[in-house]
Amino acid sequence: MIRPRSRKAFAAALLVTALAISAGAQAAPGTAGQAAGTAAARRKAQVAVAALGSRDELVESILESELGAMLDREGVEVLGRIELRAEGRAPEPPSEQRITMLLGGLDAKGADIIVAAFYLSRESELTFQFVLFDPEVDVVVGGTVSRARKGLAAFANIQSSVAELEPSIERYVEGAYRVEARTGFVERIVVEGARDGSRVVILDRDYGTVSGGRLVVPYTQFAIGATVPIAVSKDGYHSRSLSVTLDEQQETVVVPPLRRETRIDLGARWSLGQAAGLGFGSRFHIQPDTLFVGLEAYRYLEADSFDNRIVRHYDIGASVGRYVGFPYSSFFRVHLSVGIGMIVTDVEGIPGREYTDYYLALGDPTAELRFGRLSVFARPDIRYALGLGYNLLGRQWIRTPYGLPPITIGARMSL
Amino acid sequence: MKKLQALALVAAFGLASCDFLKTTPFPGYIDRTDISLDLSDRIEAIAGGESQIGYDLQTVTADGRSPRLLLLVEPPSTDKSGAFDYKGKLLVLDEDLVLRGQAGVASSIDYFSKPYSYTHDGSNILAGYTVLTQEGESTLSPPDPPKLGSPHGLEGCAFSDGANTYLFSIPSGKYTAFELSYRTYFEATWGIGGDEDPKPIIPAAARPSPGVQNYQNLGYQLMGLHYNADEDETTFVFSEPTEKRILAVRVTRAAAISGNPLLGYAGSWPVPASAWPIRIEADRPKVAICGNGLFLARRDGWMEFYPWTETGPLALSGETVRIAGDRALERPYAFLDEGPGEDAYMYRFDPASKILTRYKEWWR
Repeated sequence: MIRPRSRKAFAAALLVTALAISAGAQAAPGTAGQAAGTAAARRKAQVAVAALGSRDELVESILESELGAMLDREGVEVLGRIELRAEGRAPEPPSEQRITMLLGGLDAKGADIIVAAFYLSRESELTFQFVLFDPEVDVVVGGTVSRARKGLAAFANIQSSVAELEPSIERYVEGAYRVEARTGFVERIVVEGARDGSRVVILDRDYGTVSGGRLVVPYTQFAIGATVPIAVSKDGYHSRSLSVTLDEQQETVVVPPLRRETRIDLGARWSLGQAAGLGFGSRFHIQPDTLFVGLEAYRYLEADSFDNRIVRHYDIGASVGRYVGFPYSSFFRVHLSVGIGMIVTDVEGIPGREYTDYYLALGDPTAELRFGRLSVFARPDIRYALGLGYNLLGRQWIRTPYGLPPITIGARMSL
Repeated sequence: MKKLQALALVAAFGLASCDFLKTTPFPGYIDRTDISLDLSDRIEAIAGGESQIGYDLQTVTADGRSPRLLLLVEPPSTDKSGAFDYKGKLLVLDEDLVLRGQAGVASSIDYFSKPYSYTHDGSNILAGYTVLTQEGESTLSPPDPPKLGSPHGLEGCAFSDGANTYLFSIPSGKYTAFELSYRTYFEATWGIGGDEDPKPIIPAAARPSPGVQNYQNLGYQLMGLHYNADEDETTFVFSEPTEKRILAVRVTRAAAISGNPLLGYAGSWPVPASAWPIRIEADRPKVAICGNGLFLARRDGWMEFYPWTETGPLALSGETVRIAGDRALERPYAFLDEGPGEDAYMYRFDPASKILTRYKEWWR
């Protein structure tokens, strides 16, 4: 008996009662088959209804009465309702593992089966997850997931959602311990390969995060052969989207591991044309692995200073650059950058007369090979000296007497 | 580990031995930087706020006289009405970059130009149309500076043997020539010598017919000359545009003015490429000459020194010294090398900073 707790619940209960009478009339022709089942052993069930987010008493009342009516039709005796609390985590349908944990801890009070209904009321949408649980062996033996709109149509939607569970109840009553999935639908989807904490969205529905290297997707009715988009995301990593065709009842989807977003990298470089030296640099990525600003410093000696004054060059530059042409996931990438810099040349023993060559970096087309967080790169240093102040190079393109610009090779580590 | 060590050794050896790896965009003379002089205030006083200033840098030497470094500063010499109004000044410095004086031309229609040379009348310096003291002052004698006649070009060269000042140049208005204009000055009055016959560069029989296509460009250019007072020998340096090379010849002073073809003294005629393999692939390089060799500042950035025999018949001797030089064409360079036992320097003026720098020799 449903005890209305409010005026709205009372109205719903009246509606449930009216529809239950109607359903009973429709179910009458089938009672002979059920009688055969119940003659052997009338099964007993406990009903559990739990909100995954905020509670909605009207929804709970409808669910409880509809489940009760459906079980009654199938000849299952409802012993009562078990209190179940499922909130406390992210408002999302629980995984099979969590369902087992939640329902396995309940006292079934002699019931053969627990019929649990989890619901999530969110904005204008209701999400239901029905579970058929055997408390004897703590196993989920069936279930469905469905969605419905809130409002006046809620009752009809809940009724049809409960009806989707009815075939599972029928099979259970007929003696099949394990409920077979309906032919033509995917029974189970496991997502593997993504990093722990990665969020998985199939179609437009968030199915939670990967834990322990896998995510068992709460049952959703996908037809075998359907192609669905899967998006995997995690803070600090590049999101990945892929389309997967669900070919098996037991489908395992392996997604490539997400690549870390580069925010800061550090690098070392060496330049042909500035051979007796070494440089270091760092880049801050305004848009990870796409748009960056960089600072570089290079120090080198004149290689032919054995019996003369030692000449030291200090090359300092700042640039802004962008990767072009290849996605961040590509093994080979290219970036261009422009910037400014200066090379201070200090001749030992000549204080106060350092040469300073200011220059513009105009392009610096850089080819890059990526090995995880490490990348190696090569580029011609295309720079134009401005010939300002006490300088050495004058106003011209910077290149060696052999006609080549300095060629830089180096490596970077993404932090 | 051993492989790694071997690899490092090979890399170090390669780096130390390979010019290609050692080369930088910077000139190879920086490690010889010696002293410098900031002339920005003085040039500001000469040129005011003008930015289009022309510069030239020359050294003048003569036996028994202190070398002088001449820096020509030439602001634009056309006034607003378009009239010629020469504003150039010549800064006279000694070899240690001590400024000795600053000279202007005697009249507004004169200007400084080559040839630059010590003169026969004591310790004065000829600078184109103007005669200056070693301290950069205009001389009162002669009252009128020597005016070069119309046959003489402006890119001439001069030397003095104490009795005369000898001028050689490509005839006026020509890019190349088969003969040199010639003039001598003598005595304190700058009298003009009687012989003004052109001096042929090559034998008359070797000259192409004037009707030949491109005849005007088939000749020679006079790049410089050097006089050795001890041996009374003069070394002429020519460029030969048709052969894209530079060649030189050394003759006695008497032979130089004799009227015999100068390159006829080069040993064999025509002069084989093997004797003067100094190729010029792009335009005319800057050339400077001293008693023991030839400097080339090439436009592709290389600087070279070709050592040659110091006296007697001229021939290249020893290995060419080559360093990364300067591709900034606006910087003038000058060289001073008076032979073994004497200090040798290279001078460089930077128009951007207006700093004059002396470098110790990189070619010895």
